[in-house]
Amino acid sequence: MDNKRLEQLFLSVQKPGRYSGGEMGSIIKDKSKVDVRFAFCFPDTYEIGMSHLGMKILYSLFNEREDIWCERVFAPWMDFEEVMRKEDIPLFAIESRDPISDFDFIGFTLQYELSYTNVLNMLDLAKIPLRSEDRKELSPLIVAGGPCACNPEPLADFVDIFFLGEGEEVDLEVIDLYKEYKANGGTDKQEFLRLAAKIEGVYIPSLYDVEYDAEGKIASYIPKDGAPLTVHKRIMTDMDKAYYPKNFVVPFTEIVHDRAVMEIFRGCIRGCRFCQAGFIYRPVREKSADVINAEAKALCDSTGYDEMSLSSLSTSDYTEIEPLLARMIEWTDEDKISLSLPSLRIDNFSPELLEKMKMIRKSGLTFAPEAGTQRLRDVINKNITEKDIMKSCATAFAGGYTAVKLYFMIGLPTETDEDIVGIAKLGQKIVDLYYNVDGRPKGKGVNVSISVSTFVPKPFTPFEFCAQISKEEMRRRQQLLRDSITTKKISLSWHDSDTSALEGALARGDRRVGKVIETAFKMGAKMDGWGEAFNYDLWLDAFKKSGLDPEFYANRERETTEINPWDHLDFGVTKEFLTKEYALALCASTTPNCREKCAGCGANKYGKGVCFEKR
Amino acid sequence: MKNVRLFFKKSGPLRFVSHLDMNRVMTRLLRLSRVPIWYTEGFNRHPYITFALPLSLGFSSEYEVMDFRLDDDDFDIKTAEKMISDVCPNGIEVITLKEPVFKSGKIALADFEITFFTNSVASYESLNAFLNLPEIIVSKKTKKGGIKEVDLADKIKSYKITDGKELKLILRLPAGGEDNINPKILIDKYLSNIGESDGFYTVVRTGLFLADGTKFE
Repeated sequence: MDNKRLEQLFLSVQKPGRYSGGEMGSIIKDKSKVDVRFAFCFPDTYEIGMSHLGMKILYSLFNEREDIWCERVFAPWMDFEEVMRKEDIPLFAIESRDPISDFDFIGFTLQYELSYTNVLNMLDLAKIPLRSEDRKELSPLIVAGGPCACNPEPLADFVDIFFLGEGEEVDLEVIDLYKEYKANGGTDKQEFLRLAAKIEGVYIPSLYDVEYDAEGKIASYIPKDGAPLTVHKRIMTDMDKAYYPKNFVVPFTEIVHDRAVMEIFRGCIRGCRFCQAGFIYRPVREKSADVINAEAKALCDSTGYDEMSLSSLSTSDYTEIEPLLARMIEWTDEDKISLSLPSLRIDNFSPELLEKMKMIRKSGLTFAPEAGTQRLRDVINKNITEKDIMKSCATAFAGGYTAVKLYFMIGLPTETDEDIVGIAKLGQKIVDLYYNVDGRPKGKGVNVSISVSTFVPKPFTPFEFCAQISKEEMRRRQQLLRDSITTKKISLSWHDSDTSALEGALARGDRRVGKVIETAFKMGAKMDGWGEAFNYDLWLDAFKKSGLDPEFYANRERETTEINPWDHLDFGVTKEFLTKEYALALCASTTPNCREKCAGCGANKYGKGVCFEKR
Repeated sequence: MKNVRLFFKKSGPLRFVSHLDMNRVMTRLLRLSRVPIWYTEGFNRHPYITFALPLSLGFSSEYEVMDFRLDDDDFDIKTAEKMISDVCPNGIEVITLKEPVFKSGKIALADFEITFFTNSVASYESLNAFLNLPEIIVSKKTKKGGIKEVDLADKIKSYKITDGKELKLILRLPAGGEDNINPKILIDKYLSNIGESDGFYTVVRTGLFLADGTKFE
């Protein structure tokens, strides 16, 4: 389609800046001069995808290579999808506006299960057959990575290659293999996949046969054609040497996180038992403060951003956080850049840190106690006490804050009604605390906002064996909490429980769940992460049509000896460790964090990171 | 502190950037240029930027006007102009940077160039006939959210049609705070009159003028 007409069509939909491209920092190459074209697809809208750090890293990394042109692709919003289908516009990459079906690689980043139908929809919009077996040509190869690739089985029928773990090295190794294979005249997709399977971190689902027992549980995984019995994730062992972009694509239009982002470490020392990220990114590997400071400055200089955020799973656990901030403030202050520190922990939130933060900007304070009682916080290994929470809130109030936001989950393993009521009680105690703090802002009220989501058991956590609570039970517990809150100083918000229920079924799904996703997609499911598009009944119908039961995947307590759909994949933490942690959880027994004492999770085999710090 | 006025062209990918988003784009551009801009005092310091007249989403412009302040009165304006020019992305082109002559509120007229696509059913004859109608009544949203009927025939200050390779209409309309007419409502009315529902045309704002026709500077 000619550009003039396409641009006219952009103007017929909401927020055309999502599709029009040309942003500062976006990379245009001569396609005749590159060997490999890579379509980096984020299966959600531009605003969400452009906020994602992993995409920025890989986009820049790939494009530093002269022989590769990596372009960005996002899921069109429903208004533009309608136009595309009506006008017969195949899904195109933002930079070149070429159809992605012409590309060598189409790579999806899998950040959340509810984006799976968007993956299929994007393939469909690109006029590419959904199923791997129906794509006979060598290219385009459909590849995928990201946290959800730790249980890739629900997408096994559609994706040719999964990258496990961190992509910086393995992605390029596969691209190089492809380039070499093609240069030598290779055209056989199956042969290429067999060769790629030899690269560490590469999982080719079509090279594994799965057998099920009479109950539908997995009996065995059988590798074929020399594929490895266990596929190991890849990690970057030296974060100071890991690639970090010197520039970002800076959108013209507003996106969710419109700021420079600096990664300060990967992994998390804490071991909260519900948190998948806390296990699959082990071990903790920090960047040194020198490197962070220099890279952060370079990034602000090249993007023009006036806001920078430090990114990690738990910012205040960075060993040199205060010296780092002191050094950064020297130039951020001068350049009028505001620093933001998400993911602060409640127990090491010091007055010194608060002082630094106040110098930066008075943004909201958010803490995540996750559970309402000490017993339940011990079950999930949150390792914070009510005293910690009170102390941090008192520090914040004395420092001038009048609002705090608290995150909780309901449906955690062993949760009782007492734990639910405990959330309300804790909220009330914080309200009462405010009025007893010396130095609180005069004449101002307090607002404690409580945000509640529903627990979803995830693979590679000690709760991978747990049953998720039923939808009816979710509703009952929500109502109980609502009834327990008696003050208007507490505001309560919910994360939709239907989406949590579906997430629960997809997260621990096996290969057969692919049929459900395909059926749901064909029935019209897409943008499932968006309330206005999500239709839970449609999904239930899709399960039924595929002859599967969502409760089998989400609401069933699994034996620790059962073979999970992800057990042939190795993310560093052993199943023995997860089993042991689960047993400890059930008796509300905590495990110290990685810096206090090694818990023997298995991630020390990478030979780097927190496992080898001096304690 | 010194007020300065940036004149620039907006085209290409910037056509899809709304007025609201332009604020952020230009802020970042000024930051990138390292020109010593003046920031507001207070806790959340930000540069002080105002646009003379917002441009509709989808329009290009050959004459955009943005005011900001230099922190250093003695900073050479030509140097600042070059610094900004050097960091402009594709779609923003600096015309000049100078001290403002008129207040933005003085803007009363704007020129537009409308180009119809070759596959549009628009023609010289039908367009000329339309623009000569004794009245062209359209519904227009008011600032208060209501709808009122406006006669556009009164509003067209001047026009010229050229029919070369492409059919083009050059149009002068009221602009600014007093009375503002978006050429889109006029063209869409014309196209609907001749039975075309889908707009096959582009719009470029080519100039801004005072009520007496003096170029806004």
